[in-house]
Amino acid sequence: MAEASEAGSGGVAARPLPDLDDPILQGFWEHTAKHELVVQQCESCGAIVWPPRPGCPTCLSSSMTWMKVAGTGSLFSWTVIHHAALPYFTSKTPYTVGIIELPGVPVRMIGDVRVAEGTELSVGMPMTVGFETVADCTLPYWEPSDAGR
Amino acid sequence: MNANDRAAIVGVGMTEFSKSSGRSVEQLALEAAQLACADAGITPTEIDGIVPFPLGPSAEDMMAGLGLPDVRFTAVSHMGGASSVSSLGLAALAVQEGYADCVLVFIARNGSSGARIADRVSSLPGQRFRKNLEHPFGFSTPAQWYSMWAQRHMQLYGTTREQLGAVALTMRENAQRNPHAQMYGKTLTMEQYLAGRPIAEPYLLFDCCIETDGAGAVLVTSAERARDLRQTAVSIAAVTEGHADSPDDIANRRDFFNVGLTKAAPRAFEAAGLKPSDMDLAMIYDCFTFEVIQQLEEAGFCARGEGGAFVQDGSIAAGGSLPVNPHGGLLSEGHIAGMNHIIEAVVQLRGGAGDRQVADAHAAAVTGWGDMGDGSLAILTA
Repeated sequence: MAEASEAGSGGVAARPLPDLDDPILQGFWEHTAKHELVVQQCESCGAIVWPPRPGCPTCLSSSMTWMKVAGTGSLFSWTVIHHAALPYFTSKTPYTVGIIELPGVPVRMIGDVRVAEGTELSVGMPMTVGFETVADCTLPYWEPSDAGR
Repeated sequence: MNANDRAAIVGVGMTEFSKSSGRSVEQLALEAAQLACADAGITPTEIDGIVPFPLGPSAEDMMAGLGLPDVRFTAVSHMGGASSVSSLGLAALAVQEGYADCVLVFIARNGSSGARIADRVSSLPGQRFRKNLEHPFGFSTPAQWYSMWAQRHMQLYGTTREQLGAVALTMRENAQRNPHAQMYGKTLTMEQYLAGRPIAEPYLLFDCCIETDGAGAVLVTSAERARDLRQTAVSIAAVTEGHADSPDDIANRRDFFNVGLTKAAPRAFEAAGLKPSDMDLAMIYDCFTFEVIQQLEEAGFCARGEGGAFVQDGSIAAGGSLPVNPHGGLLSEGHIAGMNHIIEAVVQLRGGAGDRQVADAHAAAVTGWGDMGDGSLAILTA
């Protein structure tokens, strides 16, 4: 698992980062580097697959590709984490992780949810994706669609 | 896996539960096995089948440590915490088919002083996307995964913190009648529950089960053999397992609250020829408070969305219509992956639970829960 220190962290625990060489997920990160959010799609039957897998669970084809999605979604559920198990996150608590439901595709993504302190979250809240570069990868994050950006 | 009353639990044994056992897991396992043999009135050398928990000491550790002359059946269930219950099914299958005459099912862990849950889960399914799509966002433990269910249930059905707290308080209250429980002598009020430090909201400290150093073992034989032994035989009427769609990812389940138990429970009741309302008590795998509500709903003890009210109205308390975990559960007795729930069910069905005894206990349902909601259900009768 590739790891790198966030700029300015001065030697504290490194953030766990994705393995950019993972063959199944490589395409996802190539798209996030271009600030595009994609989901996996089967080239044979068109089924949308999330999380990405070696092949299609519907038709068993191994020809998989990526389909761009709009980058908006609605908040399906969330948790505010106060007790971090991964060392890097100990200094980030409390932080929010959510499940964001994408419209038009049967996909729900786990994601880093950024909200201003005091914002009340609710099921169905519209969310918009953002991208941040950390070391050599670009990670998506989510924030309320009405947050001024 | 359906035993149809041809297999029985004939002996049970547990070490003490503590924060620090001061001994190895192998030693704990050997002690529990010997206690189970003494309970059954057999010598350990009669054991000719072993089903160990997927984490911890192995079957070979027991063969060597107990000096077993000829073990002819071993198997391991890989369902995380659900393995204790599903292991009963493997043991029942073995004795029914004559692969073994006396099967040892056991678990031993130093879960408090040794590897804690955050370390244990690195062997769970779905590691590729756990590491790449979850860990970068700081999402990595069962408390964090399962809190998503609790949050949505509260939003959709109005389940309240106080209802989650009712589960914690019921378990703690039950533990006050159980000297073996780690929380014996340590009461919990609703104020204390609500003031518990947040872990992964909505989960607070007392929504989470404790960690334990300890071991538990049960012995399974055929019903015929059981009749010759000293304890009232507890019949394994049915054991089933089930896996949610998909088994390694919670977020994308179309029916979000469905878990392995949703499939396993109806199969078990049908195999046993019984209904949820026939159960005199229920042992529910209480890794977290909300999971008790979820499993009561998914197993059919109450309707989806009504579990909050069900746990708050006294139904699950001692003396209620469906006493849950009279021993205090994982939340208050201790966490040996539900082997203690099987053992308590056996003690209750034998009529040996003293001031914890559920009146007229003849049928008990025992759930298993593991990983991302794999499930198992055993129906035990006496």
